[in-house]
Amino acid sequence: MGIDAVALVGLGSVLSAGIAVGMGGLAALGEGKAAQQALASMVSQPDMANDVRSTMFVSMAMIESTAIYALLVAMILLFSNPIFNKVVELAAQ
Amino acid sequence: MNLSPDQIIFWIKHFSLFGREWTFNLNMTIVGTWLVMLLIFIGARLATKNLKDGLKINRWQNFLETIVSWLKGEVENVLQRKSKFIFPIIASLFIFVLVSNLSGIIPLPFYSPITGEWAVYIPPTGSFSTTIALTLVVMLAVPAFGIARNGVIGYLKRYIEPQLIMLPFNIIGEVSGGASLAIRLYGNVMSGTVIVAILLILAPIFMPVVMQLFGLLTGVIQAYIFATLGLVYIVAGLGDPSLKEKKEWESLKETS
Repeated sequence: MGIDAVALVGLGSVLSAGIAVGMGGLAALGEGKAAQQALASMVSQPDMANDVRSTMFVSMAMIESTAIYALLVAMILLFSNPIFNKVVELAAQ
Repeated sequence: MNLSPDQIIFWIKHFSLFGREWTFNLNMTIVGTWLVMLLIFIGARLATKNLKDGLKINRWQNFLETIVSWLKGEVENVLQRKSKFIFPIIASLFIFVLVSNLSGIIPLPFYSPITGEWAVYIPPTGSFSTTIALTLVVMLAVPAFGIARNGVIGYLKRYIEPQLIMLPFNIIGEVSGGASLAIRLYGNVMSGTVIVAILLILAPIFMPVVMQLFGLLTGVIQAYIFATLGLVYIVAGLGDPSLKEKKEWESLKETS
């Protein structure tokens, strides 16, 4: 296994980390929609504002967890990538 | 780069037990958990040292009373029935996760004699082991409370609702709910510390402070989310309150 394989695996990891974060950023669309709807209902029914707010926080955290998964995958790919370490080990032999 | 405080090791002990070799690592996660426990214990003892009745109370008692009464209100809002043990579990989870998340802003240096390097304190909730352990507490409390209330058959019936064909999906839902609970907390806290470390290279003075401020906000919200979702899972395991429980709850509310 030569230097080409190491370069290829490195390139693949960095590219896919970027794609993962970009795709995870799409969760912002869902979060924006949740916030918009929550604000609208808070304005139309101020009595329910506290209930709406706590439910919104919980649902926002659930939406955000998909973005967090993407971030986690990207971080593992960048900083402690098991496949990259294995390839480097093989190339060193 | 350290993605987890598990990688910062202070002390290693090898021993053999049951015919196998085991390794015990005293790492930053364990030491950090001890520090957080100490902080909570000392804080609670000092605040409750001379409790007073009436209008003039000291400020620490006031602070704790505010937190506890707010938490009690939140828990009872979801619970809608009388319960002795659910509130202490949820409240302890909330307070531990909250103090641990907020302790991330304390710049404590640690020296590791194994690697001979200095390391910065990382809150224990930034470790996957801690969040999995906390999630296990919740996921074991779900069947425990469910079986205590409905019996074994009554609890297991929940998995074949509304039809037998939904059994695998219910099981997958249960497992993924627990996994997401653990990964969410870990991902949030860990990404906070890693982003601060990256910004320290790019813009050393201003940006890390802003991100730490943001980390305080997400730390509080994540503690709230963890406690709320754990409570929701436990209440889902209990099932709907019966007519008797509803009556009991309403009479309790009127008297208080």
